[in-house]
Amino acid sequence: MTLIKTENLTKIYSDGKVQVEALKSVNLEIEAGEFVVVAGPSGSGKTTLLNLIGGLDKPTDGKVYLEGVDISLLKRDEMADFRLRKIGFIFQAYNLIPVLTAFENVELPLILLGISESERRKRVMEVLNLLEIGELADKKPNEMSGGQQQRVAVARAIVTNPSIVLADEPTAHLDSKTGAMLIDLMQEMNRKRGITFVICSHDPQVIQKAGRLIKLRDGTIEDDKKFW
Amino acid sequence: MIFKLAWRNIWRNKRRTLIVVVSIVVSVSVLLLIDTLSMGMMKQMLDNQINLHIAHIQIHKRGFNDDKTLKNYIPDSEKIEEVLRQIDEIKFYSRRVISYGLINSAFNSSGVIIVGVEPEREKNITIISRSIVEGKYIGEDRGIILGKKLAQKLNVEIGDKVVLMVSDLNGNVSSDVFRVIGLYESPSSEFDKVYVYIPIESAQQLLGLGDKVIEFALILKDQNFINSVKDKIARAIGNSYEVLSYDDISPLIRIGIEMYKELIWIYYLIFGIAVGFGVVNIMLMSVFERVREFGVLKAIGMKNKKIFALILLESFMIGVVGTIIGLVIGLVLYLPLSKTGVDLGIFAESLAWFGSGRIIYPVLTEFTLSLLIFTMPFISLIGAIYPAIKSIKFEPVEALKHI
Amino acid sequence: MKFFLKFAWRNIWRNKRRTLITILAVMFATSLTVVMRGLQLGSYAYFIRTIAGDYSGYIQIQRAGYKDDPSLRKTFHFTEDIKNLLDSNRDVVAYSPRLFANVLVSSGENSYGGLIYGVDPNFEVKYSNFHNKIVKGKFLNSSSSGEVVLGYKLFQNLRLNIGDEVVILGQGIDGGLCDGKFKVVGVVKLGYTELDNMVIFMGLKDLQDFLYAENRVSVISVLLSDFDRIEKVKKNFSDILNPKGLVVLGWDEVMVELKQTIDFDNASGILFLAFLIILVAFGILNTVSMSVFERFNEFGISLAIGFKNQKLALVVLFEVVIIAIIGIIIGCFLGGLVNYYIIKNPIVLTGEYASVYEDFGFEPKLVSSLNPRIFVNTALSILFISLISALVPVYRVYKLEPLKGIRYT
Repeated sequence: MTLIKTENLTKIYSDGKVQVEALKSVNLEIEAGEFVVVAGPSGSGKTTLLNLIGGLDKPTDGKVYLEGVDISLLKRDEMADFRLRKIGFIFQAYNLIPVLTAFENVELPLILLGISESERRKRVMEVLNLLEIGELADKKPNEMSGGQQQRVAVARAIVTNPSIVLADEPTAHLDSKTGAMLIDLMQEMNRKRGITFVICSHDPQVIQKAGRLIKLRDGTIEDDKKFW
Repeated sequence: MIFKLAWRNIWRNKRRTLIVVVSIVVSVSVLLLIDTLSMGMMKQMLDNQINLHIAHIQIHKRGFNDDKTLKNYIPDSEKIEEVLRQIDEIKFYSRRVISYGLINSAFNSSGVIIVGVEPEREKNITIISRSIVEGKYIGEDRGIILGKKLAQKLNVEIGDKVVLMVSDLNGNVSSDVFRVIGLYESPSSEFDKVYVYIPIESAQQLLGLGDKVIEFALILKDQNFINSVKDKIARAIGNSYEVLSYDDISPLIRIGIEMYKELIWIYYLIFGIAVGFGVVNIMLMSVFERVREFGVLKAIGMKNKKIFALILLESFMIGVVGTIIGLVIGLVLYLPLSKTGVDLGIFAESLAWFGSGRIIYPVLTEFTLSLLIFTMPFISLIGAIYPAIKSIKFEPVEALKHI
Repeated sequence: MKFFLKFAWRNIWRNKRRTLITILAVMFATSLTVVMRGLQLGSYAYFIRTIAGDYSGYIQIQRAGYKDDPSLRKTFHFTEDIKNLLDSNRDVVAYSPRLFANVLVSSGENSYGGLIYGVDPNFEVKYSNFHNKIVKGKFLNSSSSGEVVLGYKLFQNLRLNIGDEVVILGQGIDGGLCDGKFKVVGVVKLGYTELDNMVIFMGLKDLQDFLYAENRVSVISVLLSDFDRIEKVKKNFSDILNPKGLVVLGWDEVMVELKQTIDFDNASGILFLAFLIILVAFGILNTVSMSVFERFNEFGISLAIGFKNQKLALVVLFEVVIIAIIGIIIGCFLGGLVNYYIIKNPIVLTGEYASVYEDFGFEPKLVSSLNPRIFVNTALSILFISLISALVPVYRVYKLEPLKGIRYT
């Protein structure tokens, strides 16, 4: 089943007089269950692509379909709902809300979905235990290491059982060992739960684990290989 | 150098500094308007009191002020006039006869103070001649002018007759008929209800005073001469007379103004504290944001004293900038208002009761100006002390570790 | 909802110092407003009680037209009907029929203008405090005849002793002159300079005879159990008395100057406090915008994971409300304590300042009030202005786009 489809996806940033073409007519299809790594040097358009797929940014031209829905037609609040239900996000840093405990951070999307407290409790603990960070539940972000914080971020991204998780340089601020552990974890989730991952990274450890590797250069797809 | 550094620092976070500056601007301009209006109102009350009746200086037979009986008449008015003519600072003077009495119309009666005046000379002393709203000013024999309020109470109009009833110099009841020839309206409603004017000769006749007078009212060339002229006259005319300034006669408004001046700083302080919280807040924020920077400055050898002074200076500058803009805005509002006045018509009756008149002309005194200039910069300085102490408490190494 | 409140609560304590300073500012404004309003409203109530109590009454019955033409011709007969009406109303605490006359009073040597309060001691003693303000001699009683009580300044000016006779000259109801001799039996110090200079208390019957105004009164001053009864009783009496050519006026209609002076003072007080609250609102605006802009990255991420803008804005609004409410509650409490203390221990002014008060007929003391209105109005105004001040930052959050937030530096 095709989960994501882009048609002639183009993004031009204009900063006064200078125009930067961040993405040039990208056509891409991603199937459900894939573990995609989008690689490329900085400025190649990785993050732009991810933001457009996640509906955080609007394309200059072209379309993004998520599960067949043209997301450009969604209103702001509908898009927020759509992200809440269908998409999990993991960012480089500042992923977690500092005043909330790990448990509450993971619980947040479920609260926004209006799920009952007992159900929330069950699902949060399930995910935390799955990621083996159950003991972090009552800790606040500043009491956790960077790797632990990113694990909580993964937990938050998958707790709603989204169709897809978008991760933007998730290992950027981690040492290589912790980074490797994080990417293994994401792969495990992909396998165990069938969650589709699209990860932007130029970290070789991440690229190495890709199920499908899309290389971007200057806003176009330079290479697209499926390994499994 | 330190000025430039401080100036640049305060504009690093424009929004934050601007909000505090605006709060200072608002308080300075609002205080300027409130204070000048209150001052103006009280000055008007004082001026009206002088201009309506009291004048700058009054001379009576000793004891008259405490016991306003006709028996305290001035026996020797020529001698006093001679003295007055020789004093340069005196601009005008006028002779008066004053007595309590009862005024009766066909409909009603009222207790009044009867003032017998020399019509032409009195014109220079008080504003009554200029406050006539109906009819004309006194001049003719047995013509009387009343306040409009009193005329309403007595139910009389121009041309109607009224009877003045007094007890004369010998204690006998004496009365005479007068014709209402004019109505006046002064800024003070209480005054209008009580004071009636007749020519001095009519008054002397009614009261059996012959050619004697009760008081002299003096206007000087400048209010500042009051005390010296008072002394001069007192020495010249001797002990059997009392020479009183308007303040001796009616100190209430002066007391009111003093009370106001003694208490107004509280209002400045209240606004100052409200603004001060904002100053402390942004200076603290700015210090915490710059901990690392202070570490660097200290590491390259900047002394704690200097950093402390820098923070105080930054805050002081905010206070000064806000005060200057606030003063400019306040003055731009004040200047036209001081010409046109502010019409507080909805409180007309109350203001007439106070005797200030319904149109208030704000007055900016040096006292107000100095309070306005110093309050906010001073508060800013005080408000920066705690943040400045915080700024020097960090050790260089520790500060550098701080992100 | 519970979660959002918890979230907001934790957010405001992220920067403890800043939040505390802001709460302190709100507290300062609140307690100051409560104290100042307390002094104002307390004084007004006190002024009105004293003045209305002794002089005009909470309401006053007059003949129509008396207000504009207060002459003997506009007096009216104090009939049994009116008496029954007043006696039967349960809100009426006391009342006093009074006849006024402007006269000339003379000791033989000196004469002054006087204002006679013709009062019936039986009613007056129950109604006013005048009999408690005797400084020499005694007040009138029901058997008084040919006796008067003078204001102390008038007494001094006339150089009299208790027991001396004064000659009073007046104008009777027919317009003719009348005079009579009266014995001074007492001296009263009302503390109202203007009246102390001219007041003469005389038995109502004596004055009616003196002026040939049999059974006539100028006004009936009526004391009610409470201010809030005024409208009801006024309406009730008006319905019955208007057809008889009488009118019922509230104290504020009788003493327009006092009413306006209170309004004037009230308006200037409110204006001052409004600016004070606005100044504090600038502080709130600064704190909220600082805390909002610091969190733009975080907000961006929250938006990205599906937090809706309006909910985020709501959280920020909650933060403002919590800060404001904490400040308001503590401020109201502290202000209330001060007011309570002042009520128990009124501040008595002394020296020259006292004379300013006395000139207007008030005892020179500062009183306060714990009227719930003060607290409700203060709390609501501060909360309202706090919310207004937070509008801009809250709007910025409402309009924030996730990417702009994530990338905000």
